[in-house]
Amino acid sequence: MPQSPIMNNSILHIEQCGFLTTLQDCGRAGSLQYGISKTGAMDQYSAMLANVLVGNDECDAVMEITQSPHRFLFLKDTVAAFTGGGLQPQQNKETIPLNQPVFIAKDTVVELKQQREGFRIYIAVAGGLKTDEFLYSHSTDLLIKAGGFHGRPLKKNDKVETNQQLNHTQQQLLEVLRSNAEIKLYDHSPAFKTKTIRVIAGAEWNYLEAEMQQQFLSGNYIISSQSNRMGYRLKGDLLKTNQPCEIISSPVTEGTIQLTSSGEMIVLMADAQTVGGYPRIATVCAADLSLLAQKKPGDEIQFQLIGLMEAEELYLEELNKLQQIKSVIKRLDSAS
Amino acid sequence: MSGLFVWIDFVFSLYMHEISFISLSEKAILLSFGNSIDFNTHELVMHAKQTIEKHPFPGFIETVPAYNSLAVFYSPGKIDRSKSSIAESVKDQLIQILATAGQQNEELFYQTKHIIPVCYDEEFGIDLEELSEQLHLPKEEIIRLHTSVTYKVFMTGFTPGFAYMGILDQQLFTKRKATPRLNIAEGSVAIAGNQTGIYPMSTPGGWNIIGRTALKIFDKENKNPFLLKAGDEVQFVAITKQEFHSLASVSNHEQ
Repeated sequence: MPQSPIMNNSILHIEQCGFLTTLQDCGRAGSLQYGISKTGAMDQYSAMLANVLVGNDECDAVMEITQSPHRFLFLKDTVAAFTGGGLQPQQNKETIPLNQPVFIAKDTVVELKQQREGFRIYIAVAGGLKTDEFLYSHSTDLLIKAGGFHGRPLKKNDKVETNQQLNHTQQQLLEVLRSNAEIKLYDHSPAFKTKTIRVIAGAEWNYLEAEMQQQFLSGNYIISSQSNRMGYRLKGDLLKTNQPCEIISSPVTEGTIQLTSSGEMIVLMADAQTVGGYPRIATVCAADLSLLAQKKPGDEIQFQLIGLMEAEELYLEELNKLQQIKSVIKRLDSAS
Repeated sequence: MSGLFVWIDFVFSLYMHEISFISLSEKAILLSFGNSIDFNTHELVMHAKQTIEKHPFPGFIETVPAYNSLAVFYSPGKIDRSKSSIAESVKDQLIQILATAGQQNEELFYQTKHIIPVCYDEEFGIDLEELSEQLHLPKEEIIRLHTSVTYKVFMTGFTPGFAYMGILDQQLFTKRKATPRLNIAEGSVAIAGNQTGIYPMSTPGGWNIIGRTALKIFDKENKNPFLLKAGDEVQFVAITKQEFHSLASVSNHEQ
């Protein structure tokens, strides 16, 4: 195929865009101490999965799409992967399988409008998506309008570019998929319906008396409509502390469950602030933070307390799964 | 010099007894140093921060200091596991790093002193009038007291680059506003509780506004976007409106 002398890296044109679509990576490390939010994909696992399925580095930039109709025109032959939930991708009214690398031919229109379980879908393309790098990360910081796609959410008529040329493995992947082969690497669909969110005890867990701890662990909580990428506010029975409901401002992180003085809880998410003055009663375990990110306002959750070591093992298992997929993709290259 | 070494030795023997460790998540451990806001506690926090940054362990990512606590972030998959729990292994390594630095009397503490010009004109210091009544102090006295102390940056947070500084002269201790403002101008200098701060960008906020600086506190276009860092010292200097405007035009020109 003759190549134009001027490189055009545009890979998709946004023909229809929903309410919050951003470019994200694993988050911005190194600047938390200056008050810069981590940002990054809300469902970190789905974002990393999408990347490894197309032979990228797990922390390359992906597109995070919040449940609302979208339509894309692909401008090049592409290896892509769709992961996460909320929407079912289709081309020519045919379902595009999730959680596996797929070939998308130039001039294909991909539609995301049919709803499914979950709230955020991720698209990775081989070569990664091009972003404005800010403080060593691709992620969009919506507060300070930096990183990602010019520091803002994507909108209709934006053209998104790829970051780099396909490596050898990705070229092989493209050829194999182009010939209509199907590569199924990942067969456990994440259980977005699960209500149970596992937590570990927080630094101020003992601000709750045993009875209140029990209430926290047995109550049903609904994700309020006042929830966003910074935090999820929960509606449910109010909790009371056994001492003033405040601490000397101290670091917080994604997954931190803050108890506000009104007795309501806020679960801090990817775009959260870096320090806070509310008691940190618990932390959503890293492995279930991705599941929580797939919940939307109105969804009901319950908390289950687990030990720190169990939480660590769950997280390492996730990393191992990604490593396994990575090595399978690499073997594809050496086998050809 | 010998005085300083003795002091650091004292610091380490003191704080190895007083640090408590608790996991903030599977990826971060929180070091707590007692339960008060004071310069000594904060110096222990900054000392630990700088020691860990100077002697990072495999898998270390970054630290976040606050008044009496320090978060240490790490990659769980990259930790050398001496114990079955990753967090316990990190804790062991941190204790080792801090204890070794203590024995070697390492001199680490660095800080920058900033002189920050502030215009306390009522056009900018929109709460001066109300504070004057509330604190029973003339406006001039509020300004004099605010510029008479060298402040320590305890931490940055809330928004990028927002520095929590203290400690104010006791006569200036005040509550936050009952209803936070929805939009505070960039560079606004404010007080609340026993602290003072500068709003680096236009955001909502509940502190009492007493003046404005033309200095860029946070500049995302700059290679080093943050003017103030935890541990730094800050001295405010009062300037006239005219001086403010000429500084503002210089700082705009520089961009």
